[in-house]
Amino acid sequence: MWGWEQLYFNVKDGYLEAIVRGHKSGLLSVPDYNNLTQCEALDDIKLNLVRQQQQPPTATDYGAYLANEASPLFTSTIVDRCTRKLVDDWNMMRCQADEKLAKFLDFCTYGHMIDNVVLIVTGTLHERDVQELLDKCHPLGMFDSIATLAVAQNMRELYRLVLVDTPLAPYFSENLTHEDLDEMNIEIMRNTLYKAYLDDFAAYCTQLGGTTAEVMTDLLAFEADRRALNITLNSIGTELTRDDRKKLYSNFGLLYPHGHNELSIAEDFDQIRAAMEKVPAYASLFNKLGYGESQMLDKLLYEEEVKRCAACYEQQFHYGVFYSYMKLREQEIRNIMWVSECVAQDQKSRVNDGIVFLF
Amino acid sequence: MSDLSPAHGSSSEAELKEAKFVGTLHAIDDYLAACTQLTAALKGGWFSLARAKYAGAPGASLGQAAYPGDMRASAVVSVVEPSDPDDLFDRFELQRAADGPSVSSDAGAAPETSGGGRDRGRDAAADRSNASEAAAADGQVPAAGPSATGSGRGSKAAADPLQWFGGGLPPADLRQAQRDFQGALAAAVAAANQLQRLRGLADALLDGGSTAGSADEAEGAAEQPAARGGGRVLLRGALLQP
Repeated sequence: MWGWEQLYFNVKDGYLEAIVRGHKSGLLSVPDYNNLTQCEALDDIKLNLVRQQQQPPTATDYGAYLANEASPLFTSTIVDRCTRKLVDDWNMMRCQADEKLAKFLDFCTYGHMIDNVVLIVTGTLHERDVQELLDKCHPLGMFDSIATLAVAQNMRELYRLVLVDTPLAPYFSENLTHEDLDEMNIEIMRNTLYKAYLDDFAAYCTQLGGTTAEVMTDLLAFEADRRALNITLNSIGTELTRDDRKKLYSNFGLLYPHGHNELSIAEDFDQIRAAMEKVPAYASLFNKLGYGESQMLDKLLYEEEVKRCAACYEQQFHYGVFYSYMKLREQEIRNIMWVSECVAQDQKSRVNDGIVFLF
Repeated sequence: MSDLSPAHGSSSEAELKEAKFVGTLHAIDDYLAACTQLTAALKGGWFSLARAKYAGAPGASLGQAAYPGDMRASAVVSVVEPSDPDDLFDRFELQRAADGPSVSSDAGAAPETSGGGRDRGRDAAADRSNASEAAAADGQVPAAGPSATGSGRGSKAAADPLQWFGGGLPPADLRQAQRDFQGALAAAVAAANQLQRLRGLADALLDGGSTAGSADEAEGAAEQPAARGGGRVLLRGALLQP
């Protein structure tokens, strides 16, 4: 029964909820993005994020991370430093979390862990240096034995030698371990793992109950639906069969099960649109797109995600604020990356195509 | 410019020179158009790549970490001698890779042991090597992707570079970026060919002017190759300036 958490939530988790709300208030606002879009070079973007020259000197949350970066700057450098801010905040909260919240925070990072596993395995398939691949991994998805992924020759070894001792072990099915390692199978492995992870995360949140279950069910359902949509869009015209495509869809969400049936047989964007528009929550999204137009879809989906994450903060005493903070911060980093790319490529007229304002 | 004035030749020679001059100007237009197309294709490609990074997962890697360690070119530019014997400037031809056997098709019926996976990879690599040699013997460009003589594990990277960045599910923006960069490569070769044609026309224009005079002047011109070449370079530079 929701509402009882008002009595006991702050005993263990009140401090960290306050911390995460403080981090959330440090996210960039519309005036900040207006200043960034006026920049002519990457050094200007850095100066705007550091902002020490104003009186009184004020800095964004990234000030300390970018202040000592020397020219020439690259987009990847800016993104790396901004990501470091998220990682430091997350690790600080994780260190001080109690058991239940710590498990929740760990769940939030398993997606990054899956991405890191795929990065290492793909890079090893391509005979890249392991240390070079480790440098490219997301810090939030690291685990102790990640470097030993390079010795695995197929998925069975991948599971038996390395992943059996990681949190991803339950997500490996018997079917998955019989596959050999090539690009297609690795991508199927990624999506299969992510599907199992989302199902498990949703089950854990439901078990937590209360406002956390209510908020996280909505957020994870949207995530599952968005992944189903992206898998469908990206698999059109590829060798992925309809049955294989359907196996990658999660077992929950607004599209489950009828929407998934229609998406699995869709062959072009208009058929996908027809399937999505049957869900009222997504019909408004697709109404903003012209027929056959799919380039703006990513931005619309991010806007919807940001809207849902920002709405989380209207309620107190739940863990959804932590998940939302991660998503909002990642969107902000994505915005900064987009502005940086547009400035670097002299495409400033297109800069507003990708910025999703958080507030 | 005195060599080009109609006073030094008949009207037909003047018309010939004017036609060559106009042809050279057209060649300049074509060259600049090819350069513009190349610039637009490159700009579109880099922007599509930025969109792919924007739309991808935070952990998705679209950088060099996804490149195979032993990449082979998927297209080569070969130098072709011109068909006209009077044309001194070679042309360039873009040759795309021949389609080779795919790794996934070879991996379908192998045994399910851990050693079998490695053997399957080596067999596939050997097949690719044989296909590459056969393609090379036929004059085609060998298939893209890793060579069979890699580090010994037998690299299993796909032939299509697009699959290095998302397996069989590359995002639409990444496919668009590939199309843009392929177009840019074709535009670069076209621009290079236009430049060669322009050089040929510029030389023909200057040769037409220098042979309009007497044999003594021709001998004098032959004794002063540096000056003639310098004049050619100056005119080419003047013609090629934007």
